[in-house]
Amino acid sequence: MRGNPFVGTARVGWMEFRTHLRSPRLLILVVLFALLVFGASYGFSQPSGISNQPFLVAHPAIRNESGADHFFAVGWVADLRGVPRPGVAVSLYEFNLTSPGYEAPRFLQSAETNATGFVVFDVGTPSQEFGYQLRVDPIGMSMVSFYPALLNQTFTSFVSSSSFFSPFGSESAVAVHVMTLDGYPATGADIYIDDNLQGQPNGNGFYGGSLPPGDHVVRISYRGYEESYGTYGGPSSGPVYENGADAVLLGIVFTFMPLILPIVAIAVSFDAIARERAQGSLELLLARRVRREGILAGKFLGAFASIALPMTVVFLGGIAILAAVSGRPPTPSFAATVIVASLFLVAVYVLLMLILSSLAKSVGTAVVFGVVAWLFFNLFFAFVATFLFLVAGGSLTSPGAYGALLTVLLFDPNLLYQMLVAAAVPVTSGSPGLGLVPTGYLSIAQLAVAAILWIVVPWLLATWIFRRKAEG
Amino acid sequence: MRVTASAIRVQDLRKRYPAFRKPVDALAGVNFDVARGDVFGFLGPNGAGKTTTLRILATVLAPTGGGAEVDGHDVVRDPMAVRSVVGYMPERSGAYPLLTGLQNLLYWGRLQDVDGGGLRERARALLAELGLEEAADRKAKTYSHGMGKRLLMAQALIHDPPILLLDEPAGGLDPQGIRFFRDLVRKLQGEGKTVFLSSHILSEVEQTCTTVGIIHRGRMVVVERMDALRQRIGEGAVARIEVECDLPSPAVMQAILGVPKVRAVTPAPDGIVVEAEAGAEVADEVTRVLVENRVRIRAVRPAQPTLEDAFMSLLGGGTA
Ligand SMILES: Nc1ncnc2c1ncn2[C@@H]1O[C@H](COP(=O)(O)OP(=O)(O)OP(=O)(O)O)[C@@H](O)[C@H]1O
Ligand SMILES: [Mg+2]
Repeated sequence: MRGNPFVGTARVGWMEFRTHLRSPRLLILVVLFALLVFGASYGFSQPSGISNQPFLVAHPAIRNESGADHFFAVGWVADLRGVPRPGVAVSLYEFNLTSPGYEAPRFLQSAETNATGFVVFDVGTPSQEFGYQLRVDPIGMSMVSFYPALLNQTFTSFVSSSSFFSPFGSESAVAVHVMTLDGYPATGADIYIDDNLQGQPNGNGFYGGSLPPGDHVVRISYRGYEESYGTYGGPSSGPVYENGADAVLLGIVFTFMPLILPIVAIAVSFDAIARERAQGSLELLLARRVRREGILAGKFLGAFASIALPMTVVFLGGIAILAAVSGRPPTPSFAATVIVASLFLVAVYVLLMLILSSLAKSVGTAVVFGVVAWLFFNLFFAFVATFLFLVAGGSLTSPGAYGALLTVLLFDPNLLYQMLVAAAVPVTSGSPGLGLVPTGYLSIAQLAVAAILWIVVPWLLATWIFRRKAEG
Repeated sequence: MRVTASAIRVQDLRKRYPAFRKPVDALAGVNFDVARGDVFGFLGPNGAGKTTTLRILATVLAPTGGGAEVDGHDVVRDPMAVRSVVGYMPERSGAYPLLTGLQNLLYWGRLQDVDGGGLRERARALLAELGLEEAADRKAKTYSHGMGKRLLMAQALIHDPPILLLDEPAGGLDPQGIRFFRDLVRKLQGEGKTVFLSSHILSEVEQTCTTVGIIHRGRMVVVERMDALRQRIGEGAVARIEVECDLPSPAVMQAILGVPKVRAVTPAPDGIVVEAEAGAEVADEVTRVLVENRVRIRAVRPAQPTLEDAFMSLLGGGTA
């Protein structure tokens, strides 16, 4: 009669769990993990990739002051979302419009943009033969000239369109800047795209909007005068995956999860056994009414739960941030898969560390074992496996051989984790996307079997080793 | 409950520690029985195999040969039953340093299935009994060596086991601490418990033990009732008296040698050592000679037969 092998497991597990929850070690790791996940959820899920690269526009302006016309060159520096850039140095140059050969522009003066991004240069009474140039290094330059027809206009304008790529698909945006002829933001101007009224510029004379794919005409109308620009919106596509938020999660999994998850798991559990051995409590534990596998199961569950709990909270927080920032929550089943697969990876590393911790005679050795385990799966395994595969004459372009290599790579839990997550992404029809998903090479069933083996085999190994080495 | 004659029965117990080149045979066939209600002093010099034996009895370690039963339960086949009836106090401290003494006790008690309600009171009472009342809510890492030993003792007693396995309970303690543990062991014996305790100092245990077993290099040299052993040591060894006094002149030394049954007189750092035939009572006569010769005496004491003496005498007597 063997009796219940897990008598006392709950007590040992609870003890382990409590010890970790109170330790600064776990707190530091969780904060680090949360910073990464929250940061990436926020950063990767910005709804548009609109660049915050600044640009410079220049407008001529004529003001009638005490009966005489005064001429100005007005510059505005902002990014493509219309956020002004104060304190940027803008230089004014003069150059000869009629000169037959090239003549270097002549520097006149320099000034910084004000709080709303504007800079105004008084150019006195310019000659028709001269034009002006505003320059911001290294952004670029913009020309100002005072041509006769200017006096028929009620405003001057600037239109730019650009295309962006984000996890949520590619889209194009248009940026419009309108100033009245006397050099003030033309807040009353109407802006049309293809004859549909879009709105008016803001207090800085800026209007920004999205641009559908294809050719468009942007028309600006103000006090009976109009200007039109032909623009082109880049091809807009949906996200690679069914939902852009899924792509963000996938990005998180593929950028740093295989690095950070094992670190958290290893750092929490590397000394689970070695610590008890070093402080002598293992001997007391071994003499108590707990079986060896009961102790090990308690250690595993306690360490695992102490990581799994905060980790799940952090993941849910990250998903909430992602949904709030992008307005598009990830597919629930995929998000659940990411969390479960991440917990799986943690479980594997906790088990590996129980094995190594049982072998380690001291806490110092346990640390070394932990570092080696991390390096092994994060650096050596994939390199060495691929290298040997190529040396053995395998070809990455032959589907059969590539599938064989992937099977070998299942022996790396980090890669298995990524394959599990990638295989679960809801894919838009026909496009496996980014080459990350090994669909067609390994079936979900094969991945699942590998995952189960990755838990069962280390567990059996851990109990076997612990039985032999516990007393040492 | 099963009724067996012996609380502990050890038969041909062997333990070989694996080592890279030369495995260590810590136990090379150990046999002994401990009767119920006995206080068994397990003696032996450093490295003799005491801790190894205790750890096997406590089911911490698996033997590599032979067997042992505790309260009729085999330590290998039914370790869980053994763990229920045994309280084990290891040689080294094993408390969780970041938990308080009380928290440590509660944990060990819960692992031993001491019921939740009474456990806390029992733990407090035990800590008080062991003189740790004030330290109960302090972290174990702040405990002194002696306090650590007391906490270890408390954890061995938390589930009120009938059999106690104590590995050098008085090791490293001051005379007061040694007396405290001696009294505690007497009390446990009074409660009908079987106590199996190890030591490498005979004098430390001879007052409490009813039986002693002496182990040397992994083999039992002798297992005997204490009174019988005392007699044997007395018979086999020379009687020695240490006299703390001013160094007597050669003439006085000569006079002492003249006392009947005295075999030798040797100067010692703070006096002289007198050796006489086994069983002889020469202290009074030697004192008289010294007093008559106006040698100032500070102390006269019969030298304790040391464990070494016991070995010598027993090995010489062909018991091994
Ligand atoms: N884990 C181990 N691995 C290898 N050898 C060991 C181990 N533990 C003990 N030994 C050896 O076994 C022998 C008996 O050791 P044990 O600790 O049982 O002695 P002891 O009688 O308790 O000594 P002490 O009085 O010093 O506590 C010694 O030679 C010791 O070196
Ligand atoms: Mg010992």
